[in-house]
Amino acid sequence: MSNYPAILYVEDDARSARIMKMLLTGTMNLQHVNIFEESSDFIERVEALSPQPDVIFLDIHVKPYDGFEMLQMLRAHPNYRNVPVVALTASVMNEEVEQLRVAGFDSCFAKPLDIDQFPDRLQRVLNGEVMWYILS
Amino acid sequence: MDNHTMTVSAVSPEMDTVDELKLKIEQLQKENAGLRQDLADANIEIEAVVDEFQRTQVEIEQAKKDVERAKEQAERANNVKSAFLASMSHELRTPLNSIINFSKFVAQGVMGPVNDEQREALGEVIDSGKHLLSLINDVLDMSKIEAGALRLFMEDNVNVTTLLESALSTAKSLVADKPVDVTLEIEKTLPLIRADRQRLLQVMLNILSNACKFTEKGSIRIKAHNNDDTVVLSVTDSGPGIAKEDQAAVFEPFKQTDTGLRQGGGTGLGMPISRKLAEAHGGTLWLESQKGEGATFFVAIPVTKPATSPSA
Ligand SMILES: Nc1ncnc2c1ncn2[C@@H]1O[C@H](COP(=O)(O)OP(=O)(O)O)[C@@H](O)[C@H]1O
Ligand SMILES: [Mg+2]
Repeated sequence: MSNYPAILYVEDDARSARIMKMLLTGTMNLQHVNIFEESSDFIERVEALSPQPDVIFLDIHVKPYDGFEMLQMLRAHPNYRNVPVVALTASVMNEEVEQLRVAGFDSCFAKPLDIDQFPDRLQRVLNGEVMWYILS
Repeated sequence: MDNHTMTVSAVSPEMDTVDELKLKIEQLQKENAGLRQDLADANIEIEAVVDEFQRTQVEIEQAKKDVERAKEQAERANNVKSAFLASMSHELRTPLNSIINFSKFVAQGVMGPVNDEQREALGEVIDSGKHLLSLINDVLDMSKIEAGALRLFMEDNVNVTTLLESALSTAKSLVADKPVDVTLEIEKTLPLIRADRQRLLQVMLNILSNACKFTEKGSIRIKAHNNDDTVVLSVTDSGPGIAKEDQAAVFEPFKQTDTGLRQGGGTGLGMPISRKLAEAHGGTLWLESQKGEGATFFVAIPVTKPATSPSA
């Protein structure tokens, strides 16, 4: 991993995608940011990324594959088995968060995204910490 | 057949005896017939009882099925309510993401220079957005509780110390601009407890956010100790306190005391929700206060031992 972690974000809501882009490439000045606006050919497109992602953020309500399905594909792939995968979702009621936990997400960040806390939290996820910021 | 003692006469004993015997036999036969009738009657009665019993059993089975069906219906209704509330939450949070964060970017000057007046106005948008978010969370939680759709995700071995340390750091940031000292005091032998981590944190943050909101100077002391297999968490503030006659209203939905109303910004849902959450843990939440003397909120959660059988 260089000074600039490579980040992949899958998000079909254009506004949410734009916010993340402004945060990552603007405020945080990161160099390797990729955003998929839908999830067709998901694994093939992840494989084609260069550099390969150090962390992956997934929205849950995405088509054709939703966040849970994308997570499964990643976990089934030898290269991505251990890459931290964070759910970034507006569905943060208890049951839904429990489902994320059980499915094997490493962390969950709630929407509205706390962009002030985000840089610190990203660093912690990259350090292997598990975080469930669902109250914010 | 109680009268079977035979009287033997001294005069012509044979005839008498024969006649008497005949009589006796006839009598016995009659009695026998009567008994048979009784037996037959009894049999009929027993059959009727058995019949009745079987009918009752069928009725009980039917009632059981009815209860089962009603339960399923209620569960389905609750699932529908839960799904509705979950999708409401999602639909409301998504636009708030845009409202709060685009305002923040503009205020930060990312999209060109902004003057102080504009920055201040954007600050109002951001604060209102955050307020709307907490309102949405509270209203949805309250609806869930009232719909009977609240579910806890209980975990064994929840560490109260870790939980309170994270609550402490939030509280400190809430009073950063006031001369208020926040402290945490935890008994060394505090056991791990069985709880819904997220919900218990929510309860403590609700109590602490009130303490931080109402305390202008002095201290907020967070404490935890074990008392008879019950972990008691408390928050004591040096704020305005709550008059005896206002204390019940603190736990009623949408009610705020004059202090709360003057302060503004609240929903009056924090404490009712928190009390319900504590009760859902098998615990209690109460307050002790006198007007002008600060307030202490207590949360008592039973230390339920982790179940040994996997069924629980
Ligand atoms: N620590 C406290 N000191 C004084 N008053 C309090 C305190 N905590 C709660 N209250 C009173 O109880 C009311 C209800 O609290 P809560 O349910 O959290 O609603 P909110 O904080 O949204 O007003 C508050 O409005 C306030 O009047
Ligand atoms: Mg409150």
